[in-house]
Amino acid sequence: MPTWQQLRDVKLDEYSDAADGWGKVSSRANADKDRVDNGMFAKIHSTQKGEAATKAGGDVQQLSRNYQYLHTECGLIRTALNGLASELAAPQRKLKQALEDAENLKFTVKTDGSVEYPTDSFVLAPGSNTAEHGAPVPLAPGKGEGVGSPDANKGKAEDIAQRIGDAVREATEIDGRYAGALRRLKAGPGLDVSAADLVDAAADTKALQQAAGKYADDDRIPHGKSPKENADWWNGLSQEQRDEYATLYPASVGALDGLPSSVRDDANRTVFAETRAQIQTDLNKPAPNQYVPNPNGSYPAAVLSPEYKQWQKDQERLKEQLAGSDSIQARFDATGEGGLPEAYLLGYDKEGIGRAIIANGNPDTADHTAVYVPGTKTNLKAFDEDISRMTDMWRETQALSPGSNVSTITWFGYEAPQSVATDATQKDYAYNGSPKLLQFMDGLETAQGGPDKSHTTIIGHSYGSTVVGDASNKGDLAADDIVAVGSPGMLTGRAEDLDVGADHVWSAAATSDVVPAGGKLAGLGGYTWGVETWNGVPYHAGYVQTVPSDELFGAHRMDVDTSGHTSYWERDSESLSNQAKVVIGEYDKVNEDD
Amino acid sequence: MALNAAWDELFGGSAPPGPSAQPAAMTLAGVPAAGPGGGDANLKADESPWHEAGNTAGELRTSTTTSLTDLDTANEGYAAGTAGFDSSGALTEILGTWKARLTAVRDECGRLEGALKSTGRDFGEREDATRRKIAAGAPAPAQKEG
Repeated sequence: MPTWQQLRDVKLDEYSDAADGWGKVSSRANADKDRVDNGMFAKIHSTQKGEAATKAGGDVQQLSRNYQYLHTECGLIRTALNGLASELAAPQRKLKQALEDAENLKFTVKTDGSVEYPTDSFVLAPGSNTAEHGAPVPLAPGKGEGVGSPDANKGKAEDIAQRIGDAVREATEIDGRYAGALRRLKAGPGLDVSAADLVDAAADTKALQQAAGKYADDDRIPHGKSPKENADWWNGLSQEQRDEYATLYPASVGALDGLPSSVRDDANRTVFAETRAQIQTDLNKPAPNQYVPNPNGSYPAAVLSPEYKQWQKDQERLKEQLAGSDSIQARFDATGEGGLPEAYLLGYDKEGIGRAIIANGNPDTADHTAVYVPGTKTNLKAFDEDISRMTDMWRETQALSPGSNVSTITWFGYEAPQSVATDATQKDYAYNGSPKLLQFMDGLETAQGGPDKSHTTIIGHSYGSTVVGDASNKGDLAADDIVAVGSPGMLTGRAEDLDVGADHVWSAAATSDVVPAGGKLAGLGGYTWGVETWNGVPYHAGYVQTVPSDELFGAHRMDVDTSGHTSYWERDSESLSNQAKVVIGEYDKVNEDD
Repeated sequence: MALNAAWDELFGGSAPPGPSAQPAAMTLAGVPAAGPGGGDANLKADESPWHEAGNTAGELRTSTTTSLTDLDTANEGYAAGTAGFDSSGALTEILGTWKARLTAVRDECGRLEGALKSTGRDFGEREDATRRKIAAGAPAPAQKEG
């Protein structure tokens, strides 16, 4: 506990200078992590096969985890020290003001904080007295008990003693709060970064959010604002403030559409690593007693305990969550394989059916960007294929146009319907999902630096295309091309109604895909006046429902050589190749119905 | 020395000893397994990526050394300037643990630099040896897609 002299003398610069050092270590570790991932892991991984590469890969990944750990924890220490210095400044000021007042009045502040003052009175004999901190409730605000005393100095001295005591008490509270947060931020021994270390890191972050809440408040991060406002807020911060928000509130920063993808990726990876560690830790919790005596006392003698049933349920959920995190981790680990570019994690949430947004290659600097919106039954517990569709898409663009700067994104950012019969016939999933898609696309455009910076294609599969259609109906979809794949309908009757214009709407539907017809039964299409044709032959006219694969809809109907509803991204297929040609803007090479 | 054993030595020997880890002779299809020239047909190691990765490890060693210096410089004198504050005691407690971690990371970078580069060299020599052996009349190895 500091004395008033120590509070007066404390050099708060020492704390902020130290903070700068920790900040440097944190930032450097962040950069070094990227160098490990791209300059070491991807290198070994890209060209090497065999046991040697596997073992080296394990060591290199451990190194990467160390830098991530250093980035997070040293960043938190930086923020704790800055918060400490910033908060201590107020009581120090208060104390110095009180000391100055005492000096002006020729009072003496004694070692214990009491204030000796000369008697100033017409009635009392000259001499001196001492005022203590904590005098009884004063008669007037800001005054000591001496108000109304025959000694004019008594009240002044008590007021000063009170302020000195208050300042020291405040400083003690601040010091204790930050000392507690700092003590938590200890490195584990050795080189291991265990799941327990990462779970601790998450708890440390929460503890510091509490301790440093006055200094860096989550409320100052924009929530529910436009990507433009988010970007303006971010651009108005100093680099140190950005680093502080990103390490103290990684989940909030990672979710901000409009921020640079590399910033969001860093923040989300912190959240991801800690969440994954938590899932693994929870999964390893031992089972509670399986059986308890039957409370009814009858047959059977023992029944499953409620705790065990709950544990079983939790295990089930945790295994699904782990599977989702495995899919994402596998994508991270695949960087470098066959030239696959870095992954950017632009969103992650393990709860419910989960959420994940993963880019292959940096979209902020890409010449061509593809955003894939998955459909019915999308769920993080079985997410491999949703990721691989876009890694395969990336590879296909490279086969068509080697070296072209393309980013492909799997956007699972909405509550996808989970069953074909009951959910996927509902429009609500699209109504609720489309604002999120609009926001994400706006954010992408903002981070890219404007609508002309990247040629952007949205690929909606199945119900995902319904979400795309609704987004286009509702807002101004920041895209140049729309591809509807196996679409049950886009809630609009004509391609020309979509934000990109009819010439930039593309449809892919296999003849064996039953979803377009099913979508019409569910009424997910749109209505238009017109003549329905089949291979150009008219067969029906009137006010009719259309889906993108109908000729009347007016999209480019691309050739498809895959069958069924889920094979449109098969490697080496024309189905995939045609989509990729749209993605890289080689429209004239797309094979389509004339 | 067999490749696995060499690797174990370079990378700390953390592989669990088991029957699968025992026969270090990785038979290149069509090439006699005997002798130190064996190599897995699936092993496409060449020198340069390993060497580059080793170089990066060396750079990271330097970078981590700088971090250690930064911590020392930045935390110089805070104890004297902030007497009486418990937070300073807390900082002293954790500072030691992070210096130890950074030191371990720095040393690991140094170890990896050496191990990666030397493995790259080994692979390069092995590939040369294998090529010579094949050229000397051994049947051509089966090609396997990587």
